[in-house]
Amino acid sequence: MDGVMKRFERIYEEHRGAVRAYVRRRAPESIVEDVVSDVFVVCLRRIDDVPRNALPWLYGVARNTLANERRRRTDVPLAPEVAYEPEPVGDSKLAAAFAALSDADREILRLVAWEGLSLRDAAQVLECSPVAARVRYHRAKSRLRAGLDAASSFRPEPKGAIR
Amino acid sequence: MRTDVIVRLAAANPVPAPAAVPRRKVRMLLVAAAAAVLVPAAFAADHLLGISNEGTSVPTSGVLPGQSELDQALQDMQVGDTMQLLGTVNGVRIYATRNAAGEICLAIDHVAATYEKGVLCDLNDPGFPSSGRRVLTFPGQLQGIAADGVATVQFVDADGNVLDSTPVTDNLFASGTRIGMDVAAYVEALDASGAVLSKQKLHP
Repeated sequence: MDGVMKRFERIYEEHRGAVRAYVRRRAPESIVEDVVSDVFVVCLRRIDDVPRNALPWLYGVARNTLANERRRRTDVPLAPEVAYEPEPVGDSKLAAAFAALSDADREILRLVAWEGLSLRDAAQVLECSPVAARVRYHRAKSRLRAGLDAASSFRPEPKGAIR
Repeated sequence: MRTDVIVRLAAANPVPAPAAVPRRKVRMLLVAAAAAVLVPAAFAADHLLGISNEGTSVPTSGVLPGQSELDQALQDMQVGDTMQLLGTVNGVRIYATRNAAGEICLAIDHVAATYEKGVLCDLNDPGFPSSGRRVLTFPGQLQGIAADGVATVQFVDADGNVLDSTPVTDNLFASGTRIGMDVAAYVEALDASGAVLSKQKLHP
């Protein structure tokens, strides 16, 4: 048991900040702590399943936990708005083009650009093959670039979604 | 130019990467769960927690009813069959016990909320209660237990500004203010005259 707890403690200490940042990039602050706590409860319960490279695994748990949390809170009257996602900051054209992407496109771009994951690690988070992740990534990047190009070709600057 | 858009997106990250956390001995384990196990013989029943409020023994299975994940976590953390219900403050039920390793584990259950539940175990050596550790609280909200003689507990930031303060009654405290994780740098224990008895670091 000591070994299990030591390993959990090490994972918790090393990755708590990164997991919190991951959740915060996808959800309002009001639910971040609840989700992060749940992620580490799952980590403790499934400690034998946690790979040596724990962070992508933790991100995957966080992704599922966040989805469950959104579903759960959607059913609660007057629940906080949990669909809110922080958008890219300091670049309105990029924010608009990013918002116009699908959830799947945004997620793989976030994993690479914001979490700094390799495509192999991103694949683990998304529970798909590395090849599939690579295809999704390149398509998402192309769509984001196209959105930015479209935004640049319009005057006045469009405020809505551009596909 | 193929990566331009990714570089641009990375630069617009709304939550920049946190600073790397150096490895260290864990000071506190926080998970949303609760705990209680076989009590080591070193802790006799009448001095289980080391504070005046020893509470009432209740089955661990009833501490967080319906919270299957938390129940499982309690078992994983080797919490035994019973915990001590210490009381209810500001709508927060507070439970404590020592697990098989002799660590004090704390569980909270917000009576009126479905989600505000949690657990932590103090992994310090020496742990709570000791001269340097007179408070055992959740790091994002002042909720927990305090040693005898502590009248007030407060969160302070790195500059010494008080972020939240709440009175202690029967060794228990529960503030309704959630300040969030990683906001407060220290928790201070004050006596009835306002003198600081201990100042504990909350994070590495």
